[in-house]
Amino acid sequence: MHGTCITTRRQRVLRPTVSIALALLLTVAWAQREVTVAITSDPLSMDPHVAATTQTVTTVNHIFDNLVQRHPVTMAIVPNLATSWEISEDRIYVFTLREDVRFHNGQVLTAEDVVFSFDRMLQPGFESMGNYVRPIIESVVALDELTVQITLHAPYAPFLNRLPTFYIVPAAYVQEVGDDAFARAPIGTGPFRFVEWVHGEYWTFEAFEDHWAGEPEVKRATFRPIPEASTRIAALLSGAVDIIEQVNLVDIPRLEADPSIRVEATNDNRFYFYAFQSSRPPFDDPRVRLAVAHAIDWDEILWIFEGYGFRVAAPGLQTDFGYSAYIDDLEPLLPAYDPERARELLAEAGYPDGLSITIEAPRGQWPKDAELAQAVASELARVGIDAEVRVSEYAVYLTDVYRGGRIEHMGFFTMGNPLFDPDHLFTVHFDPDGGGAYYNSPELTALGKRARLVTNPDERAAIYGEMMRYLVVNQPYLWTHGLQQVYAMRSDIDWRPRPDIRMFMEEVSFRD
Amino acid sequence: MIYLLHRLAHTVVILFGVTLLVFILIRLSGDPAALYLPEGATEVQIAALRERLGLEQPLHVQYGSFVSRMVRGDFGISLWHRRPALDLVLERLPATIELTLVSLLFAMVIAVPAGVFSAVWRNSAFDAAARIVALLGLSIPNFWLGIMLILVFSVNLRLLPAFGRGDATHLILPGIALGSAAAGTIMRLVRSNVLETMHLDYVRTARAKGLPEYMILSKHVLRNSAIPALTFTGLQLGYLLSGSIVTETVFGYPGVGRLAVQAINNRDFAVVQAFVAFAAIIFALANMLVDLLYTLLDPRIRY
Repeated sequence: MHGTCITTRRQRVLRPTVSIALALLLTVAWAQREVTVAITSDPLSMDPHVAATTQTVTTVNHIFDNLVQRHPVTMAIVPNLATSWEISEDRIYVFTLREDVRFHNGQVLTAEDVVFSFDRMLQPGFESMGNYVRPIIESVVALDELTVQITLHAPYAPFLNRLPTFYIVPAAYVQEVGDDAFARAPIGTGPFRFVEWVHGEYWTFEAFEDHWAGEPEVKRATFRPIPEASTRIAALLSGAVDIIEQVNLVDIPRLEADPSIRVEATNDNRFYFYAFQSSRPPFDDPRVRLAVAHAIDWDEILWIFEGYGFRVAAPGLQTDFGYSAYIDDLEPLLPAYDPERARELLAEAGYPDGLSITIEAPRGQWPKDAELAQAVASELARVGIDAEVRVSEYAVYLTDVYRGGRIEHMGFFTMGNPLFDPDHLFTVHFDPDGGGAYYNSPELTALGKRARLVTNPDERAAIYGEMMRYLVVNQPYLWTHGLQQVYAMRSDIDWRPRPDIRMFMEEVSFRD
Repeated sequence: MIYLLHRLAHTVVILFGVTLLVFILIRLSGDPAALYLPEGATEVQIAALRERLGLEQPLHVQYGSFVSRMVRGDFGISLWHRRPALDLVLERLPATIELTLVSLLFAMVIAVPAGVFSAVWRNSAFDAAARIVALLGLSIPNFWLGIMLILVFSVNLRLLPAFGRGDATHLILPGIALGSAAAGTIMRLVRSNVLETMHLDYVRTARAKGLPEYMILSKHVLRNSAIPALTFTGLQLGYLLSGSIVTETVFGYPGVGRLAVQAINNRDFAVVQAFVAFAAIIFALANMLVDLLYTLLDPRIRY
């Protein structure tokens, strides 16, 4: 009897039946490893070097990898196609590539593909992607099969932070088929391979079994563009899609009441503010700007965001570089709600009887943009500032009002920080050589430029601490709030939204 | 024939008028370069893109080159999609035509019988109910109706798809949402025309000859009251096309309407211009078709 296994007739019948049933169950479960995601619009292209809208990046992310990536929670730079890198002379970056990485067509990734990808996206015509780095990069060369050296013209400390939107494409394939054909049938090293894109209707990916990080749990991912928020919700509730983005605040209670749906939110990398017209009276006087900051009781205003808005009193977010190093010292300096102090400052600045200003904002571009302007105006009225609210359509507001410094007194705007580094704030808003239209000062410029040159993280963080202190004390903008991005999904889907508001289907798993 | 040529010439003039108007209006507000580039773009980058797009040239030069390309069927390249604007519009046009025809069909199927019977049974309960429903159809905004239809038929009953394009079921809800206003108007129009015709002498004569009521209705009344309704329906095709902008957005339906909304928001000039030119052509053709149909309905009309 030892080692012998006696099988009864029943077992003989049952075993195959059980295994067939199990196989069937597994197949069903396998087949269900599919997700359909509703996002607000189509990508602009499947070519990862063409455009940088959120939907485009969310899409091309699946097909392509980059040298470095962001950690899904902390947003810190982590290895991706590059396993390690060394920085010398503050401007020479040597990346070691991962071995045996394959493109979807089976070709092996080499340093030449990286060089080709950089050369391609730095060409004029690839505006959105190449813009920031074209003036920075001096050369990109392959040192051997798996080593790439990127040399910058001058030290630029946040360089690595630029790389997560720089995707690596297969040189041979792109050269062979040309740009147009590549955009129609893209091939990358990413966790999903491109299946098809029916413009305006859907685009589909399937799991790439040979991905270097392993095959994703999601076997097939379909994205559908649904611009209207209430239709996205209906699509989720009717079971037509599994995950939706940009849930409207008013719809959250309804979704939370449904046991088959889960709502998830994350603070994103964006904050809102009013730019002061500081080139002329009254806001050329920092005391008037500070008076406005002291005049507003944010606890009373932020309820308009129904619990999904949070106060941002200084232009930094938790996921930004250096935040934890400076925030404690900054707290006591942040202008608190103090209408008495606001009136004193106005009087000191020569406006004891108050003053009249305008607040400009778009309507419907950002959540409650026009409503917030009204709320701020009514707070200002209490300290004697008579604010007239002017609202316009976004395209008109952006190009005819906000751009080029044409705000009359205060104008609403926002800044996302794709760099997760204060350098972006400086470049876009306060660098006289960059996009800063409303405020710059020699002191601020010196700090911003110095921080770019220092690659030692502690030293850089200290410089940004100084910069934040300067911005809080001088208040060139009135920083207002940040918003949580709200997503909803089928309750058996496990997925955490990311602060960079990208959606990676390889981060999705299923609760069985 | 001469009439037809006249109408064609008219259409060409209208087309130029419309494109000129849109060309100027869309350039009066909003700079596509600033909207296209990311938030952090500098003035220098924006200026460079404007230059590349030819937006720095005087308006009449821009219009001249636009017209000379348009007559060759080239509406330019979409800044956002990086593809020829004409391809984008043509690609989406079948979906919109499909939706427009379905909504028109829905409107006719509901409205014509309802209008006729309302008139025949004037002041009856049916008449009152039909008139109230018609008024509702007219006054309920189609985006609201769309959302309500989705809630009832997709979310609660799970009978019909909430969005997108696919099999015929995808057309039902947007077709109703889009066609309801037209249905209301057509019903009221048919009703008043039938009422009017029913009291004309030749109808009384027909009745005196002892013709059965259904013959009178179908042979005499309907045919003669059809002309105003037909004119209206022809015009309605154009309105439905513009209504599709809202309906397609609500239903995530991939037609030209949704393409146009995005293009307008982005100030994607090439696409907006191509869309408007096509809308104008369709509007003009629909009207011409209606005029030609008159001759079939009323032998007295000759061109």
